[in-house]
Amino acid sequence: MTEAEVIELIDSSLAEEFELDRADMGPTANLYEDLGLDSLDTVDMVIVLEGAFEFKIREEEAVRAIRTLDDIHRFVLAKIEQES
Amino acid sequence: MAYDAIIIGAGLAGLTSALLLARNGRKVLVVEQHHSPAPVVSGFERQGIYFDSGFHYAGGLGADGPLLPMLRYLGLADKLQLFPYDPTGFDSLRFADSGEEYCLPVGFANICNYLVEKFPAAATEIGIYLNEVASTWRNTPYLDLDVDFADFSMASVHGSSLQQRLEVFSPWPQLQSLLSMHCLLYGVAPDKAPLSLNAQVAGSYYHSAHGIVGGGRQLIKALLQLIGEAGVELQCNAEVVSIRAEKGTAAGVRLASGEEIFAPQVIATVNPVLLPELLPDAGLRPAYLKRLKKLRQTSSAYIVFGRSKQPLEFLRRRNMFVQPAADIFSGIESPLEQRPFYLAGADQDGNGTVTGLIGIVPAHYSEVESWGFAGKKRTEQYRSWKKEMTDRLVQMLRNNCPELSQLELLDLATPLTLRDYSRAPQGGIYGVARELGQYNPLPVTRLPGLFLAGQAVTVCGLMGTMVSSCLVCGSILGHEFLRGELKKWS
Repeated sequence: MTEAEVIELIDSSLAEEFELDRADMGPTANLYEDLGLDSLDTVDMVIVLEGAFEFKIREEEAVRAIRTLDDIHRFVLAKIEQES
Repeated sequence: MAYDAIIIGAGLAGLTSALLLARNGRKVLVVEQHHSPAPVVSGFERQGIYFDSGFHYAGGLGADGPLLPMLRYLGLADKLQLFPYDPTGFDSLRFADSGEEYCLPVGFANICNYLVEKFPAAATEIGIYLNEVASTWRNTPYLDLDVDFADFSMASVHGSSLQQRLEVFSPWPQLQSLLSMHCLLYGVAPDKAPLSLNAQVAGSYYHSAHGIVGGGRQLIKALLQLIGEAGVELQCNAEVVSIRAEKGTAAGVRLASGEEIFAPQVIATVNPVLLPELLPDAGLRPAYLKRLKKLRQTSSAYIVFGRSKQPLEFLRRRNMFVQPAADIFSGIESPLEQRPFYLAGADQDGNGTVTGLIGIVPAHYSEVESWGFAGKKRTEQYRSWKKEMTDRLVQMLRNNCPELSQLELLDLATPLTLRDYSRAPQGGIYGVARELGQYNPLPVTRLPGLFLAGQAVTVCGLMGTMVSSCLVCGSILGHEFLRGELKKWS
């Protein structure tokens, strides 16, 4: 999967599972301030990513540090790199 | 009538939550689909013997026990008479193949001494393990009144399993059995059970083990009296078909009768798998609803209710776990006759002899699924299958326990019974499982005003349901406030 494909899969999965508007989903979009998520959504975000990429996310601190859509992109890309 | 909160379900979690809120000035309505409150915990009578079907014994009620402040604060402590299980042995374990028997005494230090005496070569590891359990079992909000509630944690989802932790004891399979047998009390196999879950449940019993005089029926009676005095309204035969949301917050419920009742706060104590159906247009994220729908359930069971002509004194103030052969507990996938099971004496707090037996044998819902009954109606064919199962189960109990040679069956609950009385899909005996890899729902939801209480958000048993009620009511009343109130009683 290319980097662009990974990013597209992340964005489309989150858009569908959290009913987000793709137009609002620029890489700098803040999950909490711009996209309306809150800390209660973190678990579901983890599960959506686990389902989309078929890996297990155990990096609690890294997940807690996520703020923007780009943070998610970089987190997933690093994880794919790590696992390959 | 304007209500501050509507609680769905008059089980232990629902009644406890109602009492917590009403004690703090909230106007509360509890709606229950059954014709009477708490159909599972209230138990039933057959031929003059009272049988508990939900509550059997509780941990954490001894000196300094974390449940005591809750019972005192709620006013339950004055209304319930507790009796301690046998301090020299509250849970015994028998291996059917050898007839060998062990019996755990009450208290961490006593258990440690007992196990070290039986398995001296494992002494160091036993000490380390029991210290771990002793120092972690109550390390959760409201069992420890200084631990904060976290809305995101991976610790219990990706930690070690009980099975992994017990591998160190593999030279001593009897010891592995003794340390894993309490998995029957939370319905998750040791290879899937988070170590922290086992510590919480088993640890509470290692701390102390008590029964309630009059059993679950007395517990419910006391709760009903207290909620009545606190002005809570209870409506039975009231099945909720949907939870209403307006302007992005919870607004009330709609009953099967068509009646709509409004309140800004709704506490659902239903199995969370059922929640998405109740929330047609609440605006919750598809990701959340999918997670709820996929939650795995605890194992189901056959529960044998019997009577013995020969007194069952071996079950007075003591339970017995039976396993075919020493090993880490498992076996729900095994043929019926090779599964471990659990025995408790019924109606045992009086002065008379113990003659009633409750026997719980783990089962899988798939064993009854093909009957496909949607409601409580059964067919003649099913009844004859149930008769056959009854004979097999009684035979199995008798074969493993000579003490039960004169056992006569009075009633049998199957996974279908559990499904219908506790509204647990697949008859999960403790509702939703807490297992590795699964994120259970939290007491708070993304719909303001909608909360979840019950076993699924914490753990099973009296302890789990009471903690879940504290978590929900703490979210409504303020955790600092509620913890402060409870601290006054500790």
